[in-house]
Amino acid sequence: MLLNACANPARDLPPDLSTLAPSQRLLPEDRQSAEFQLSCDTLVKELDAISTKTAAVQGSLQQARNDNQSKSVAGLLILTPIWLTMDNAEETKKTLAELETRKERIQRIVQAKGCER
Amino acid sequence: MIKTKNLLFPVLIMIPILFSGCATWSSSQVDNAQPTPTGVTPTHTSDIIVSENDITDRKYKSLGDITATVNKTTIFNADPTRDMVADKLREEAAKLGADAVILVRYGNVGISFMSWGSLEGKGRAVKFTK
Repeated sequence: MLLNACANPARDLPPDLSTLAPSQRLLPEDRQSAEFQLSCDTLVKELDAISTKTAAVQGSLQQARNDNQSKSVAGLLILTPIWLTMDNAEETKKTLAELETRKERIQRIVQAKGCER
Repeated sequence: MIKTKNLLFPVLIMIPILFSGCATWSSSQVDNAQPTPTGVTPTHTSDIIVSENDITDRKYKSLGDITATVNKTTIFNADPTRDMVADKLREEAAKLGADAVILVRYGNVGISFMSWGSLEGKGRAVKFTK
């Protein structure tokens, strides 16, 4: 648990939709989503907003990573209990995963609707 | 005795630095590999497109889903980067005879059970059909 601090695997790949035309490459839940009702302009703005938020959350995760790395070295060389203060950043990782999932959904809808970026 | 103690700390620091010639090591796997009737002709890694998005202007078929992980050797090495993971994805895709790796996504660097810093990436190897 401790040694797993801040590790975050890549998200799973979506199902293979390569046999479909680009405009049909949507998951069933994409059509049900609120984003599917949005206009191209709004979708593109949403994508930009998500990208900005994602960059900020990634920066925050990197900061936690740097802090943990310093604590790892300190724990290794000086005081092992310092490892207990490492930040696992679970909430931040969850937020990042949600943002990336939403970004991908919007990208599929943008592609399906033929919106120009 | 005092001299030995004085030497211990620098030696402990130097050992990982000496071993840092091999700064990273990596592993990979392919899932959902599609059988190819004509056999696989490897492609050059430099020809392989790596994209976080889908490709819509060309038809393609999926060859398999690649997972690649780059690990740093010691706590003192620099963290693995997305470029390193992308290169590893390219290597694996080349073995499958792919033209591109699409829908690439990366994890975040973190300590794992096997490494002081590992970064995972996944992507779908595809071959253009026309």
